[in-house]
Amino acid sequence: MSSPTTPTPATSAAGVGGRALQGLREVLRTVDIQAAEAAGRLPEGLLGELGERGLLLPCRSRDVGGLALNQYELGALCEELGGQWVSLLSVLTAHMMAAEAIGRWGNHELAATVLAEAAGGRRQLAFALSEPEAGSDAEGVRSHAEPAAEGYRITGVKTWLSGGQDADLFLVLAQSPGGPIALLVDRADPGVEVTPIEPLLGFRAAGLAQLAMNEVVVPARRVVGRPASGLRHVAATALDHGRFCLAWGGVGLAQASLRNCADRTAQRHQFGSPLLDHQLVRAMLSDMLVETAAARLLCAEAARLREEGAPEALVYTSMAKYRSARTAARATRDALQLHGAFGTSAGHPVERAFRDAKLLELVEGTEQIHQATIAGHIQRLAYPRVDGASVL
Amino acid sequence: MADDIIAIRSFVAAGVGGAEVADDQDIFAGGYVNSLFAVQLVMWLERQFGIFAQGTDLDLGNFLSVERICAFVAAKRAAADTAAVSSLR
Repeated sequence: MSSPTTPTPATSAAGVGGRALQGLREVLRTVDIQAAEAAGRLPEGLLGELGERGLLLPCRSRDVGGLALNQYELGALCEELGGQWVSLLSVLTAHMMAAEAIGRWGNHELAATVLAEAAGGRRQLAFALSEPEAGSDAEGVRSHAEPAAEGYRITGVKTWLSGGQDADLFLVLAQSPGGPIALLVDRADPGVEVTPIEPLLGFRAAGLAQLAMNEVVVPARRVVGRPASGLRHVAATALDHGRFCLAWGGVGLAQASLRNCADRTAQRHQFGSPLLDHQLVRAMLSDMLVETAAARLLCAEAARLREEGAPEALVYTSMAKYRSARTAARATRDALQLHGAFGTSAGHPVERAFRDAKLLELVEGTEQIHQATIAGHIQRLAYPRVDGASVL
Repeated sequence: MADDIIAIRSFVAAGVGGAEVADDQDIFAGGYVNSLFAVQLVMWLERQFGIFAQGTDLDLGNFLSVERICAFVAAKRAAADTAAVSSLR
């Protein structure tokens, strides 16, 4: 079954987005994904290879080593990654999240240096927000940055960092006397300690790590944005980007489930006919297709609003992540059901997709956090704006 | 300028769920708005007024109230005009 990716106005096979997708597929074909998942980390050199093709920061300009892709094209890459390898999507998303925040709000010199290194794969980035005691409630972070002669002195512990085991630079959110601050901590800074986290239920090759900072001195030029803007703008920019990438990843997971189920239910015969001919199975498959198509359209709508720079893009991105993670969870669960005991064997793509989809429901905003965001948006619908824009 | 403040009042009013907000009232301290609104506000200002916010502009003081937002927009425009004039020289 071919992959019926919804044609979008800005994506064509011959264009830069199509070539990027082709390049990603070529790289993925050379990787033994199952072995990497078993080993619990990405193969050596993989990020460098992606960087050479501009795939590490695909939306940044060609000047810094990106491909200047639009949001639809980025979405297509993330969908492909979601369908093939969610662990890699998770690492690349963390890398892009940090890069987006630095590119948008970092000072010019910092952004130019870091983005060029990050795009080429010479420096891997990670996003460090969650702490053992603070996850969804980002304002509750306890890491603190005290002003020092050189800039800031930061102490605290960050956890669940995708790509953290190999990352060179961490975009860290901490409390400071002026309010939440975002700054770049270098792995080589004295006082930094990175500890691998045992593989979780899913994202097993994502190289999760914990970052401990003990009085780490960070020069003022590595502050991103203004000291008090760390959470409201810098972290928000990163999270928004991450949600968008993972929303498309969920579509990829659901699409892959659909493809696996189409093959499986056509080939497997029970009670004298293919599974596909059994009515209860047909109901599951039709729902899977409709749900996947709906999630993809919501992601495409988020892409459209992002391309426009519309303020509503943030809420639509949240809606897309919410819906898409839910769709992926249901599709992968149903896929497991339709594959029977075969699908539950270790290393089977359907089994891995099921585990990864559960993680996808938790990261970059749990279902409940997104529901709260979306409900907050609804409260504003009753008040028309004079610029004539509709918030729906 | 008068149109600016009307548009900004309207955006802020929608953002705070229609509550009465005076032009000089601190909308963040009042707990009316969340971080999502802060980001949306910057995006909206950029699009509405053709300005571009940078990291150095992320001073909460620039966005505290309707009045401050207006002053921020005016300052960004003036800076853009100055830059345009100097680029002509």
